[in-house]
Amino acid sequence: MNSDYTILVVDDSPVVVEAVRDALLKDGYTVLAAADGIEALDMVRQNRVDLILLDIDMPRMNGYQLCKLLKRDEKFREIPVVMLTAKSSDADRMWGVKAGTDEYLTKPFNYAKVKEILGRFL
Amino acid sequence: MNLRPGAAVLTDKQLLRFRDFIYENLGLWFGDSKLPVLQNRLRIRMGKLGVDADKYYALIRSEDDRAEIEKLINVITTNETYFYRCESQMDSFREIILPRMVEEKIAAGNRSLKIWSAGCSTGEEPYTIAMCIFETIPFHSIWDILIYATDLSTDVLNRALEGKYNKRAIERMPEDFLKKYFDLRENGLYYVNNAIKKVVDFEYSNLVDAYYDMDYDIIFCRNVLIYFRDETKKMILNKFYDALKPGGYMFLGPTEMVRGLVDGFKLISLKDSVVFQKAPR
Repeated sequence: MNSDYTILVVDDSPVVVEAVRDALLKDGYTVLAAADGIEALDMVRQNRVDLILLDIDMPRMNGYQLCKLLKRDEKFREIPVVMLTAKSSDADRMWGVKAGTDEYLTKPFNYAKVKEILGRFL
Repeated sequence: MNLRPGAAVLTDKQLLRFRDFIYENLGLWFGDSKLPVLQNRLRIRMGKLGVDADKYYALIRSEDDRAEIEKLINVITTNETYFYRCESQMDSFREIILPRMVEEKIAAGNRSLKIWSAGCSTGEEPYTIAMCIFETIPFHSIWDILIYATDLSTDVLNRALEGKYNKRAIERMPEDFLKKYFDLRENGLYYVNNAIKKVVDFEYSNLVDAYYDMDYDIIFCRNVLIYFRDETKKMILNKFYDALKPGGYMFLGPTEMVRGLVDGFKLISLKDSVVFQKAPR
């Protein structure tokens, strides 16, 4: 059941958060949202999260930094992280891999692709 | 400057519009004296895309996905840099500050050293710092050494990570550093060796808005603040103040001063250079 899974959407753009959240809710997932890395870190600490959809360029703490912190922490390192970002160069992608992301998707946001990845991880 | 023939020219009005956009979106400020640099770099990017200034402005403004803005960041912030840049400052770091700090730490039974190279570009600065540390600390392998190196361009960070340099980048290195810390390969390029690479941790980060770590012994931020306006400089310098340990040091570019921008730093003169030390506020 998709409703068993909680997905955390992290993006500083309310438009993106809303679009992703609506699509996920329609598919029955439980959805949490955060506007930057610091807020996301709090949410991960306070809730059970099964997967994170993570933007990169955000105020306070960026997505690379959050991913690196989570992957270094044995309590959180198993949570799959999917970077969903406008940063589309090979260098950006490689930096995501280095930070420990499990998947790297570039915007514009393609829900079919997100869905395929959710199916793989959850 | 490699401009294509006929590369678009910007009027003053167009140039100022780009300047404002860059400031509002990235926090980077090109003062009047730096406008020719901005002009050249914009022309390189526009020439590559084959668009004029108005079209280019519309392009970066219309982009929700920031992809072109990222490319613009790479073009406008990539600076010429090389190993052992600002020799007298690096000499002071290596011969005065570092030995003093190491001695104090050994006396206190503390064998850790944490340094931040803020705006590290293609890696020459953090690698030079690592080499100076290896030269200064006997038995450095039993120390916990971290050089945290940040930049806002993944393109330069990947090049930094690769650690591959041409002859020009290393020409100011002391000869013995070259022998000890680089491998010269057949392609004529110098590769930073793994022992040095191991103590440098590169990370993507924008000084304006990013999360930052604490408890640094020393912060290097040389020739980076020149891109920011005074109010942003103040914010960054206060962030550095908070991030430093009591008594920690801050190296800025040789001509950069902080008077009126931040309280709590003591200016210390060293041979031909200066360093700022964190004092109680």
